Amino acid sequence: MSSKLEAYLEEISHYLSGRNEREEILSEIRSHILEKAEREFGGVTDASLEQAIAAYGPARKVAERYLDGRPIIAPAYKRYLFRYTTLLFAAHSLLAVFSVVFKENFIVFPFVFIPRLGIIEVFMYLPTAFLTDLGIVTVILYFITQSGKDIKLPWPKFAVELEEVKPKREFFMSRIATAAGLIVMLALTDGALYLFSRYGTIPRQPEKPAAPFHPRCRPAALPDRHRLVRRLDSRPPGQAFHPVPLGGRGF
Amino acid sequence: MTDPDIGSLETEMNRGFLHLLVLALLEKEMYGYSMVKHIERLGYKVEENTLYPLLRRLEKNGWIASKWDLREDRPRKFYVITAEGRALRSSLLEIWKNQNRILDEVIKENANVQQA
Repeated sequence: MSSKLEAYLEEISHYLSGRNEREEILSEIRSHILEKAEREFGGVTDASLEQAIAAYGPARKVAERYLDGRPIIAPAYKRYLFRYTTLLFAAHSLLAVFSVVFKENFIVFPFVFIPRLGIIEVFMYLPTAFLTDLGIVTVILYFITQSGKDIKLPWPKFAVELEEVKPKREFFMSRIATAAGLIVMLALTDGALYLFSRYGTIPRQPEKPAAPFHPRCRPAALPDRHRLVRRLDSRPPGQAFHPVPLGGRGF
Repeated sequence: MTDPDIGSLETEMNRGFLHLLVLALLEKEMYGYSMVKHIERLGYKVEENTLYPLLRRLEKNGWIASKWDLREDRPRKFYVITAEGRALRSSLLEIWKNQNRILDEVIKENANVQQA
């Protein structure tokens, strides 16, 4: 008879989970819906219960009305989230650059460990670093919010506050400036990519052109690759490959 | 002029009004469904899923008390106002009357300005 009602209550209960008064809340809703179905929709049947449930509203919405709406981070602290994350990330990035330049590990106890990084690893490391910093700041602000105390946090100012800058609304010029900035950024990125692909890393000094072979290594002493391949192919099936010392004598 | 979105403003206004209305109604014992119907008869509508959480909050604060009545075929949770609830109600009523008076005066002032 009331399987639909029980399913509905179960769904509300799911969103209310963890609350002590859950059973009491559900009993009251059950009582209301049964009475409504009986008085307004002509008796307790599947159809009337369905109507009464529909009138009561979606389960999640119902449950949310019982939950107190304390935010994870209080509105007053929201702007600190981005400001602090930016500062922390800037420091983090700087240490990452140091780790490349000085070839050292950095540990800022207890949160941050920066391993010795190569240039390309830095670019893989930084997004993770950003998420870590965001997480650290979020956790701190969360605990401050949940404590319910009025804690006045310092508001570090950058050289220029964004709100203090009042750009003239010249759309044409700003478009050109944006495009120019974009081209410069692309050029820098492409230049960096070219250097990575050309040298593997940024060269410290101009390298001397490498000799094609070591002076003592005569080209005649190198094995013929094609002969090596033939040799591998011609080994009997199932037999393990034992590498022959390079030097040409075995061929 | 665009049509003002009255919905969210109305919700905000209703919040305070509903507290007062419930505290006034519960001078005599009532249960949720009977309150919804009573309010409807008075020409106002309260959503069921708003009323029950409100009753719960009022009860938590000690302004109303509740007990389950198991005598009839279906258990019903009855609520009634407490002494603290009555004190709160009279304070809220004072505030509400004062607000009404202020609004009336401002409306009268406006009417005089228009006539002049």
